[in-house]
Amino acid sequence: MVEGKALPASKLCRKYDLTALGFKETSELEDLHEPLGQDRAIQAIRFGIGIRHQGFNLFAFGPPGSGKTEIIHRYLQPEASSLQVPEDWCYVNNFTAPDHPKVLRLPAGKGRELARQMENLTEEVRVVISAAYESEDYQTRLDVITEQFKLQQEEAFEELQKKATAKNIAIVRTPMGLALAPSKDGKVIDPEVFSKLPATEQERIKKEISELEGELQAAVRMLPELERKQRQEIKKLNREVTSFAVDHLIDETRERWKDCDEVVTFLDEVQNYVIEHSDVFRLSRDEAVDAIPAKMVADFVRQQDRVISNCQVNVLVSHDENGGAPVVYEDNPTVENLLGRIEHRSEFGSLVTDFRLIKPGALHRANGGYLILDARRLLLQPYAWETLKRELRSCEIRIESLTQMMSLGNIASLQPETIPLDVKVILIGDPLLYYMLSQNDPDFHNLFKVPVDFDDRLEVTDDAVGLYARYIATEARKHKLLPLTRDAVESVMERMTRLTGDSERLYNHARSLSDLLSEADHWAASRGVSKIDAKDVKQAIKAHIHRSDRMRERTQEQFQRGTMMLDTSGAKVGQINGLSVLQLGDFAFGRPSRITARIHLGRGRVIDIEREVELGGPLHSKGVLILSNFIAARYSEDNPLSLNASLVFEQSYGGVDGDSASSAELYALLSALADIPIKQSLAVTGSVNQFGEVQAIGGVNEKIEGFFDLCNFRGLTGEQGVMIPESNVKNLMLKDEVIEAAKKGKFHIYPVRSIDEGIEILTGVAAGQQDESGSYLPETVNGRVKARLEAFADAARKYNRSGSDATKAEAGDG
Amino acid sequence: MAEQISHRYRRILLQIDAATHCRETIGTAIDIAARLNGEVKGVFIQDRNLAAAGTLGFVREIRLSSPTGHSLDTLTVEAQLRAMARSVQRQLEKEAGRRRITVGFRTISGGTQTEEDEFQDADLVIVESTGRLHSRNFRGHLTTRLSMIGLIRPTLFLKGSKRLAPEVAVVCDTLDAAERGVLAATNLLGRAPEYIAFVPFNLSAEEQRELSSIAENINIHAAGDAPKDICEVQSAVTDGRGLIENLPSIECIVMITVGGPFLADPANWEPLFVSRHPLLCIQ
Repeated sequence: MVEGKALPASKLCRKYDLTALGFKETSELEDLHEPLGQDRAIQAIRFGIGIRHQGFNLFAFGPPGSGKTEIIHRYLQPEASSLQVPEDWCYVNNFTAPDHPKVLRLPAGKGRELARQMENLTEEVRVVISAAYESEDYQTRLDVITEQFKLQQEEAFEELQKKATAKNIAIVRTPMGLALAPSKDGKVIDPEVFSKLPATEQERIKKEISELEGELQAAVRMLPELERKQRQEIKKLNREVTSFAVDHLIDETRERWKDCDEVVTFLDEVQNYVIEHSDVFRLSRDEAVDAIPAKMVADFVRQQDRVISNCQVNVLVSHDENGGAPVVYEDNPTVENLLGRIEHRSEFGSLVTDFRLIKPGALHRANGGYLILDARRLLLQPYAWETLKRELRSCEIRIESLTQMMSLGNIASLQPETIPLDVKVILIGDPLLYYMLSQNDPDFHNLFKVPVDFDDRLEVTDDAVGLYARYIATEARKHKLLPLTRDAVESVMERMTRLTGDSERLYNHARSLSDLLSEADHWAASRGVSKIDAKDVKQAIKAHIHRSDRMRERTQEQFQRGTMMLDTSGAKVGQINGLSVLQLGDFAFGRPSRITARIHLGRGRVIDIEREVELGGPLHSKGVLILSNFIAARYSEDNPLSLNASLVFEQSYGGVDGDSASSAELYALLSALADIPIKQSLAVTGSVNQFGEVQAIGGVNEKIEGFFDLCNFRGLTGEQGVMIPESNVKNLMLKDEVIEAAKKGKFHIYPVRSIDEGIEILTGVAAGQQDESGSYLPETVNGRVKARLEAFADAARKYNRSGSDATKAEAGDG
Repeated sequence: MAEQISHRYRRILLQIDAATHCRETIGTAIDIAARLNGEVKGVFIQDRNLAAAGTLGFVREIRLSSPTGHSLDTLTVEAQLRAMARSVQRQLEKEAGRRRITVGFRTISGGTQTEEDEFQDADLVIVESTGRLHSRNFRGHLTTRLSMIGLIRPTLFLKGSKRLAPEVAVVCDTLDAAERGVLAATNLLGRAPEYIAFVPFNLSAEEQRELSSIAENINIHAAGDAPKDICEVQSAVTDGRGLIENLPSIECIVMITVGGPFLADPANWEPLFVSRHPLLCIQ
């Protein structure tokens, strides 16, 4: 009965035969230009990058390493190349409010041209202004002004001097000013001589001196006003001379940019600015060193740099006029890297900045094109996600630092004019992020309306197999690997099918494939051959597993050494071999566990010991509740379920979750109830529903192989095998050792659809069908279970009755 | 010849007083000393008139920075002069230290024998002078005129608190003055012949021809370095005012030989003193 239900070896693994494709090695296959199995994603990409309406940004999600970025680039580049090149953006000084630099929008490629012209212009301006100020004409006019004012000053003093001399009073220069003193023959008279003068004479002299002092004070008071007028005249002269010298230069530049109003306005401002600050253009740096006192040179040079640089252009973004729209990938999407930043430089211990220190961010570079960002990195950067959303909502780029955003600092900084933003953002992330953002961020669907869902598997069809072979060939060539033989391609496809855990699917995960091919290439190269053969692929798989399976070996070792108790032969009541899967990183392996069930009279409760000690997860508890209801419904329809049962994963010290062991637990319970032993040579996996149907579970291959490895170590008897849900047969992609054992009849895989099928295989006893009266044949499993439960129910009734009688007796006695 | 000239002008005396102190004067003195490999002796002259004014008791100082009267007593005057002398000394030493020039400094009273002794010992005297009432730059008359009258040593009168212009005009009241002027301009001031111009003063026609030949001779010797006529002869002049109008540039140095006809008449040199031209009087 048992062997008749085992799957044939051919059903245990899909083997690919590519003979029909007619190639011997991958070098004969053409490149595959379209991504494989990503039709939905590609349609979404084409739609997303084509539509220019606001909010239709893309969120591409799929398993990490599935080649999302590469595929997006592949479709983005041609589209971007066909688009119009966006404008150049520059910042220039705001001459009226330097804290608010102005933005200049220029045709593509013109930004650098303007910057170059402005550099040349300022240099030429310096030369012509310097020449103008050195000219004889200027010097003469300057001298005229100076002399005029000196004469005006001197007139007042000379008049005073004449008056003083006439009255024998000398004007004496003191270190800080002037003094009037009586004199004789040009010399101030001594105090002794003065004291000998008659008192009236002394008073007269003092009075005259006092009067002259008043005039002297008036003359001195006049000096600042005269000097101010002189400065104004000189300034007027300077403006005139500078204007004459630079106007034609700026006019030339203005003529070149006459079609660009913003630039013309900027040049007007530069013209005024240069005229206002002509002083700093008069000397070159070297000349300043010679002409200005040493301690003032640094100030002058700094001022000169500042004034000259204020006439320059900071080219924020410049595009090649033939280059198409930009495609920018920002690897580190911090707020500063997205928005740009305002840098500072240290000047004598202070941090200063100006419009030249405004640096572009990814949004500036991608403006008019596409910006690709890693969603996880974006979300991990403080305020980066909120910043990106804000910019997309407002359709403009506002350069702000984090401290400004959070109002943390009060350092004086710039507030550059905002730049209009027209960018298509493509976020790349994993599905979890996409669904979390969908659920929790109300802005998300307003801004990222196009999901691009990447699949990591494709259905195995004839067409798909042919394309997959070309995909392998393409990847091998792309990574400059050795060509693969047809056998090797078949092995690769088998491995990729195994990775899906589904014999009807192929795994198109780009990184997994390229890693496998690279490792196979390594082993082939180490053999010194020119092609990758199937044995190289198998060696690569084996080596890959070996690098990761230390924990699997340690677990197996515990069974082999008897630390973990598990029978692989014989039969026992209430004991069964369950199977679980442990996932460690990207490596999973199966681990058998002994599950036991004990029953006794009770009140219809199935105790899940794992749950009682809080080692069982909710899914496991759910499975146990389902099976207890199954028993109650099937066998105690008319009677209360009068048993207590306990179920436990023996020697399990970690958490247990999932319902894949629920069928095994039910088999153990039925065995205990029917008192029929279960074959310990078999292991069981599968969940069960309330109608006793066995349902599919995950990790079937790892579970089977986990039990097989143990049996193989102990010696295959031909009785051993694993019972799986029939719906999992399509998932079977077992390793060669298992298939070989199955071929030889040493190991069996039993697919089952129901508990009845399973219990028959496990016990060798018929499950038994319910007859019209609702009874089972007494020698069947179901009949024995029902009888046992009825016996429990009778015992419970008797127990309850005896308890009731005793109560009455006590009441009567009372 | 240059070596001899350098030797002659090794000791430079820089005369500074309360009226003539300015940074540019110190800088010019140091420049000349550096070129001649000489040394500078700063002499701060305490103006006798100022000291006397301080002792009168009723004299008030009208300060240029705030034109209110401040009593000027002896104590105040002395304090101001000492502070100023220290300031001058510091500046002189700082500038000299930068150029590695040996300097000395002394404060003396003006109009005394000591002052005359200091002059006797100098090879070149540098005096800041304007001769004009330049308001804030007013320098006064006394020191300048007194020095001028004596002129016992080559004396450079600086004007207007600025560095020397490159051009030199040699007042040629004799042919000997022309030759001496060229020597002083090249060796003392370090001027190339292209910056030297002769201004004939009351020369006869023959002397003027000879002056032209002197200029040509200089040009021939300098032709290896400069391929054009460089030492020029200006139009002849007959008085001081005409001389000023005929000078090659507005700030050129004017070189005069002491003892010649030009300085004999004060009417000639008065316009020069009130002009902006620095004057170099040589013996």
